[in-house]
Order: sequence, then structure tokens, then C-alpha cells
Amino acid sequence: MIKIIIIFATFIYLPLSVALEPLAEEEMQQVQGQGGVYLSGDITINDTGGPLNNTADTSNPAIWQKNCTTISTDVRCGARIAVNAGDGSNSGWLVLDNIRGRFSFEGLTLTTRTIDSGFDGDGATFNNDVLEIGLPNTVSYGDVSYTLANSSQARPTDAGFQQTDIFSVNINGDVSLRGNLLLFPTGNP
Amino acid sequence: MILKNTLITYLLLFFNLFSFADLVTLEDDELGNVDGEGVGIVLEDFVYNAGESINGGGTFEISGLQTSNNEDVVLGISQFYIAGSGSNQGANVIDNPVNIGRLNNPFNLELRDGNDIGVTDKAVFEFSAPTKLNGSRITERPDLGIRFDLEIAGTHHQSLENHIETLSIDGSYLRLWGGSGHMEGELALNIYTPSIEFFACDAAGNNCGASVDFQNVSIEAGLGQGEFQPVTFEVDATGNFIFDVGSLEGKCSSINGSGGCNAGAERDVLVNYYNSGPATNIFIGNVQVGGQSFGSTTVDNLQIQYLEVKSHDL
Repeated sequence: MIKIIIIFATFIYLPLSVALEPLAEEEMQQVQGQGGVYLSGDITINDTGGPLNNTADTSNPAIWQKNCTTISTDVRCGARIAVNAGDGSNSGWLVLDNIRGRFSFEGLTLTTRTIDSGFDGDGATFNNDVLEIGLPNTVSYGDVSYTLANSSQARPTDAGFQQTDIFSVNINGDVSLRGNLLLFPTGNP
Repeated sequence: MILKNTLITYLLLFFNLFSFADLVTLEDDELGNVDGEGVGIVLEDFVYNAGESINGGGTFEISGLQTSNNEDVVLGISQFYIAGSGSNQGANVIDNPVNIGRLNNPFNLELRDGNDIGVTDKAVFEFSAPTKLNGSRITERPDLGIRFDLEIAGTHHQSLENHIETLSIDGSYLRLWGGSGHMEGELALNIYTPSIEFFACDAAGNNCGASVDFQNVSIEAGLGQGEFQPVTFEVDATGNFIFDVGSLEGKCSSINGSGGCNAGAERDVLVNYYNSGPATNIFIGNVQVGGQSFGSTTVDNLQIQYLEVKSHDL
């Protein structure tokens, strides 16, 4: 077993050693000793349904049913976020409902950076460190949808459930999102 | 290995406990130390571009509306963009980035001492745009716009466009705090732009009609004043939303014979509110419709003293 590992390690090592070349002066100047994180992500939410849907079927506990196939006429099959901003039992819920679909992105970066120039002269006076979140250029949406609604209850299965859908959004395709989000402390900490 | 994992799990659990232990109510003297330090936010070289016409035939739809004949109305977003100035109504977006916010005057998230802003003994969450003083320069003001198609019962009808040039919202802020069992807030919204333009085109997005162009627009809108007149957004028990700007009714407990407020502390507060409370000022330099100038419009010192907006099911 150990032999096999050593053989594999040798193979991995070979191409790397070929790539090792001395750095020229100009290239050395580019090395800034920065550390950072490069992220790619892919998340699919409630593609095949969600727990809160059909209450008509009494054979199963309603809140754990899943049925979100294309032939299903049940519209409530995505994830649901309900927020209450009012007076307890007298109030209703602001709801983000039917959250479904796939989000993916490549190349979200997370790093720190010292800014002491640029920004039309602001950089030199700023002269400080920032946390830089590099936006991924392209975010892909695969049949992403959600509905903004007002509801009388947190869950569709609660007694007296009433809901007014305000609008629904459906996105399928790429969105360009470029640039850097810079975060830094303000005031005099 | 199992032992190591278990150890790490326990350590994490303990750290969790410590962090919960740290969450305690802030005392008065501690609140006095909250002094406007927060997180600055700046977008560098930012571009946002989405929609059906730029993502190779994808979908970007808003649905849920209906005509009076109960036909479904779908708004297909052809393009929604945020880019640098000179975007030429969305034609020059990807290679035209913009910095939003300045390093020495950024967008800011912070917790403020409520006693400074009319909310007694509470911490107030504030999200603010750059201040007007030393505000955003022309290169830090984005163009944004939207083109959308009106689809009724599956048929493309019309394409509508709205473009805003070099927008600045300097001086705007949103403040939120916990009221008696619900969330309360205060809002200031400033909009400065040389042009807000609307026009309609045919179903294919061509042969656009005359535009309505609001030029040199300045809007400075203030809603609510601390606990004295809080702004609330709630959903009622029937599932309809209520947007409410607190009433001034009952702010004076000592009424004189002619219905006015007797002199005293309460009257002073009201006088101060009328003189320097939140107000809305709007100036539009010129309204141009199809190339014809309609002149300028000014709305001065409009003070919303009570507002309730409630949705109802149709």
C-alpha cells in the first residue's frame, strides 16, 4: 500500500517540478504575500419539492409531505421564510414563499488588501486595510423562483391560513455581477 | 481520530455557550458608549447586468398581476442594469464599471445610541448612504435602468423602459429599533439625478415612442421622527400589509378652548416638529414630454403628519 502511495506521489510531483522556474526581478515585485480564499458554489433549493404543501391528504402528516413534480398542481412546494414584524397574535406574517431553484457561481474571492492609492485621490488619505469580497462576474440561476406574499399564519398548515401573493419572480440564465465589495471599520475604534 | 473529533465538537459547543453568555441587555452607561462606529461598505468597479435580452434567451419574469378580465400579466425583464455614468441607456454596461460609495464617506452599517436621535435608551440600527457633505462625485454615481416587456395572456404587447442617469442617494438613511412588541423605524430618502426617463416601444423593443423625461431631479423625503412619530410596517391578521407613519393625535394632553395646545413642554415639542421635523422637498428642473418643455416643479416642505397604507384583496 505504502509503495502505491509513493508511486502516486512521484507522479504528482513530476509535473510540479517542471513548472518550477526562477522568478525574475519584475515578477518578484508582484509577489505581495497575500492570502485569500477563492470560492465556487452551487446550491439547489427545494428542486423536488418542499415539506409544506398538500393538507388535503390525511394519510400523512401534512407538514412532511413532498410533491413538487411537474404534473403537480400544488403551488406551495418551495421553501418558506415567514417574518413577523407586528404585535404578536394580532398580526400576520411577511412571507418569502416557494423558494426553489439552483444558484451557482465561480470565483467569489475573499481577501484583505491595503488601499493607499487610487480612488481618485481618496486611497492615499484612506491608507488602511479593507476586507475585499471579489464578486464572481457571473451568477447562474437555474429555474430560480420565489414569491413575495403577506400571510395570516406562519405555516400554510396552520388553522385560519390566508395568504395574499404580491408577486412572483422567476429567473433562468446568467446574471453579470462584477466588482469588489470592500468592508472596513468606520469611526475611531 | 474519534477522540479528536469528539474533542473538537465539545470545544465548539463550549465556544457557542460562551457566545450566548455574552448576549446580555445593554445598560444605560454601556449604551452611552455606542458612538457611531460601524462597518463601511464600498463597491469597487461594480457592474450588475441581468435580463432576458442579455443572458441568451433565459427567463427573468415577474408574475402575479392580473388584468381586470382576470388575464395573467407577466412582466418579462429584458434588462436590469447598474453601471457607470455614460451607460447610454444600458448599451454600455459590462465595460463601464462604477465605484459606489467613497472610502472616506462610505455606505455605513452601525448601531447608534438612541438618545442622540430621539429614541430613549435604546440601541438603534442604522444603514446610511454617504453624507451629503463631501458626497459622491460624478464618477461615483451609477446609471441604472430597466427594460421590461408586458405580456398579457401569453402575448407580447409592449416594451417599457425607464433609465436613471448618474444617481446619488447621498444623505439617505434607514433606522430601525424595537418598539413595544414590534419593529419601528425612521426613513430619509434623497434622490439626485439629472434625468429620469420613461418611454414605451413596440413588442420587439423597436420604434420607441416619445419619452417623458424628468430633468435635474432633487427629492429629499423624510418620514417619521424617532419615537415621537415612528414608521411601522406590519402584516395584519388577515394577511394584508399596513404601512403606517405615526399620528400626532393625542400628542398634546392640555387642549385650550379653541382646540389648540396650551403652552408647555408638549406644545414646544409640537412647534419644534412643525418647524424642523421631517419634511419632503421635491424640485424638478424641467419635465420634457416628446421634446416639449413643460417647465419646472417645486414641492416645498410637505410634512406627512399621518399616513396609513393598507392592502386589500381584490
